[in-house]
Amino acid sequence: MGSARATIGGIEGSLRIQVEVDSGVVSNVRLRSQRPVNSGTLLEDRPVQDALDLLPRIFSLCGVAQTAAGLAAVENAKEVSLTPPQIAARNIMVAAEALEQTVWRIIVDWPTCLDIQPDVAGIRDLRRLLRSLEGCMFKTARWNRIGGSQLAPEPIKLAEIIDSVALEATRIIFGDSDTRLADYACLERWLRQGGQLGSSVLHYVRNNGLEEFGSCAVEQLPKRPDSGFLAQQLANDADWSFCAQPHYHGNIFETGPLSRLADHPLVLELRGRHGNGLLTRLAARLVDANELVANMRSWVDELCEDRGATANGVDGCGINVIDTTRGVLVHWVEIADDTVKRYRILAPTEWNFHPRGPLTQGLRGADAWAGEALVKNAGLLISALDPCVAYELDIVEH
Amino acid sequence: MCLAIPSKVVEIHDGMVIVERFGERLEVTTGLLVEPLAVGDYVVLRARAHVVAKMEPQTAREALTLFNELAEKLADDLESKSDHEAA
Repeated sequence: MGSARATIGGIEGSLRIQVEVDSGVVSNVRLRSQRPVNSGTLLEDRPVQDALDLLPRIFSLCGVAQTAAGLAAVENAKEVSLTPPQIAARNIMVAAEALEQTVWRIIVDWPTCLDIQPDVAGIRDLRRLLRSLEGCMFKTARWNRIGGSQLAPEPIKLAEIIDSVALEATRIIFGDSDTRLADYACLERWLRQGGQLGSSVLHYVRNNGLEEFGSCAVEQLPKRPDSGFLAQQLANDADWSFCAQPHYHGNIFETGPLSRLADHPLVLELRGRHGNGLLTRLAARLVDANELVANMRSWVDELCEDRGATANGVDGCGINVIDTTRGVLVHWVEIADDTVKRYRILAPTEWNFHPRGPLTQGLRGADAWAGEALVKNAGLLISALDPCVAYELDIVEH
Repeated sequence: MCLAIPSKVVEIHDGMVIVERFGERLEVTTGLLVEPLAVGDYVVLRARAHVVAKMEPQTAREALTLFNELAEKLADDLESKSDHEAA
C-alpha cells in the first residue's frame, strides 16, 4: 500500500510553472497542474437533481456556468428538449457571470501583474446589477431545474438592468460609457485617451515591444467541437488522464476568446499584425466584455413566459459543451436509476495550461529580459490565458 | 473551476483580514464585499487572495464535509496509483 495523502490545499490545487532561462532566452518551460480534475466524483451516487444542486456550492467563480453545463448534460442524457426562452435565460445567466469574471481580470488581475494598484471595489455595483437579472427572469428561486424553471420575465426591467450593466461595465473598463472596440482605429483612439487600468496595461505591452510576446503555433479549439469525440474520451476516462491533459483528435488546442472572437475585426487585424501574442490576447478579452453585453441584449428579446419541460426517469449518458469566459467547458454524465453513476468535467484551464499547450509553447524561445520583467510579462500571458486557480511562477537562470 | 472551499476569518486589524482553512493562514482583500466581516465569519476566496462572498455557517459546514470527501477520494486515487506503480 502506498503512503500518498491528499491535503485540503491539494484539493484546491494550483499551477506550478517553472521557466528556465539560458543566455537571455527562455530555454524550457515546465508546467505542473495540481488541479482536482476528479471533482466530478462529488456528484456520483447521488440523485440527479441533488447532484445538480451541488454544482454552485462546489465552484466559487463559475458556479453558474458549471450548473448550466451540468443541467444541459443531464437533459441530453434524458432526451429533454429545452424551449428557446429557457435556453435564452440560461445564456443570460452564464453571460452575466462571464462578464463579472472578465471585468475582474481586466481591473484586478492585469494591473496586479504589473504592480499597479488594482480596483477590487470598482466591480461592486456591476456585480449587484448582474446578480439582479435572475430575479427578473425566473418565477421560482431555483433556476437549475431539469427541463427549465418557470419563466416570468420582466422585459422592461431586464432591459433597464442590461442598459445599466452596459454603462457600468464600459465605464469601469474604458473610462466612459461610449467606448466600443469595434476595430483597430477604436483601440488606437482609446489608448490615446489613456488613464484606465486596462489601457495602462496595453501601453506597457506596446512600450516594451511585447505585442508578439507569447505567440505560438497552438491552434484554437473549434467553437463547437465534436461532442461525440469528447463523449467517447470522457466515457473511457477511468483514470482521469483525459480530463487532466485533453487532446482533440490527438492534437493540443487552446480555447477562449481568441476562438470565440476569431471573426471580430479588431481581433482579425491584431492577429494579422502580431499573431496570437500578448496584445491580441489582451485586446480579445476587452472585446469580449463588449460582446457579452450585446449578447445579453439579444437574448432578452427571446424571453417569454414558459413553464419548462417535464423531467422524466430516462437513464443514459449525456454531454454538454458550453462556451464560458475561459473557453470551452464540457460536462459528461452517466445516469442509471435517476442517480449519477459517473460524472466528468473537462475545464478550459486544462486546454490552456496543458504541459504542451499555448503557455509553454508561447514562452519557450521568448526573450527573457531581466528576471523581474520576465515575471511581469509571463504573468500577463498567464492572466491573458486566464487560469481559474492560483499559480506559482518560478524563474530558473542557468 | 476555482473550488468554493470555506475559509474562516481569524484576524481583522488595520484593514487587514486573515483567514484560515485547514491550518493554512492567508491574508486576503475584502474590497468586493459590501457587508462588514467579523472574526468567525466564513468566506469564499478567489485565487487564495480575494474574498468574493460571505458564507452562512451551516452552508460552510456542509461544504467542508463535501471537500473532505473529495480529499479522501483524491487520497484513494493517489494510493491506487502508487499501488499500481509499485506492482
